[in-house]
Amino acid sequence: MGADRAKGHLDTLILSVLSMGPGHGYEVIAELRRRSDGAFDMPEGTIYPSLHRLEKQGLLESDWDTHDGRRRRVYRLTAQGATALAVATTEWRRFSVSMNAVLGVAG
Amino acid sequence: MTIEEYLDELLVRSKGPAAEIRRLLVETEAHLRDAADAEIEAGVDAAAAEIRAIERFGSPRAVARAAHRAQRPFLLAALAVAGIRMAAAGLAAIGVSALLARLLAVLAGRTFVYGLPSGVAVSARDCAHWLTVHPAAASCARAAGLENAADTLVFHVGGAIVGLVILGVATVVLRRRPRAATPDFVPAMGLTLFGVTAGALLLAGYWNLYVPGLWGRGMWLADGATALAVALGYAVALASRLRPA
Repeated sequence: MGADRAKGHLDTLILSVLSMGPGHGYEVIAELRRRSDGAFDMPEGTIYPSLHRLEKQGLLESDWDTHDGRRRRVYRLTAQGATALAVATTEWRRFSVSMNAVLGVAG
Repeated sequence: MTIEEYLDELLVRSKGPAAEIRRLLVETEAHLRDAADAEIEAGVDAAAAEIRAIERFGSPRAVARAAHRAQRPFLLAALAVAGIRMAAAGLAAIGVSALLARLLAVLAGRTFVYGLPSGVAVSARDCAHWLTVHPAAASCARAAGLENAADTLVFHVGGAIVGLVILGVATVVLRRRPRAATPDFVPAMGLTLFGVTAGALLLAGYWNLYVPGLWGRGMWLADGATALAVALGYAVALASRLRPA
């Protein structure tokens, strides 16, 4: 799956990365690239509007952090965000099982 | 393009509340400098590192567009809340102006506040109705004034109370929705709306305007003064937003 297709699931991917621990935007995008072995190499700037939207929806919370004279917004998952991630993960599993069954691919 | 030039272009292309734009710019700068540092560590020279970091981040146009798209639903919610607050201010003002008109009637007289303008021809049917409701009135004009005073209190104060209750319920329901900053142009809208209304009402009082169902110089003036007070409230809010942080 390429970066274009991953865009439709960006919210879930962000929640998943942040479920491992707090991080700022640069760390989130780097972790996405690392975990996908470079397949999810999307324009990095598009992650910030998504982070802001998820925070407004109550799925993330954030604080400013200054390190080496550079201000960064550090995001962390809320309880509501953890629930949303669990729901999205279940839905994805169901979907992938169905796709595999139709395509005749072992799950 | 350098990081500074990129940030300038992103600022120019960004739309929405100032706080949101400022936050995006700060995060973008930190991200680009982190990415450029990583390139330099990998052996790329400083100028090329900035260019690579910018390429990977995406064009200012694409980032600004994505930011605007993400804000849209929250902006609509914020506008709905601002509209409700504006309507609440208007309804409360209607109630307050009715009470102000009462006070003015004590000071300047009932006829000044509620009385029919001189020279206005009213129908015999209206006169008969007012005299039936107020049999103690000595004349049709006096009965019209008494009727105007009674109607004003009932409809204005009653309407304001009902409206405020409905808006209170709507505010509680909307509080559970995602947070949204009030758009910067809302105080300007409030100032314009209530300012123009105040001007029109004060002019109606100056001319002692008669519209079937609406009359009374003091009532127009009380309505205008209340609308002016609300407009001043929005002017203060606007000034505090325009003041540099």
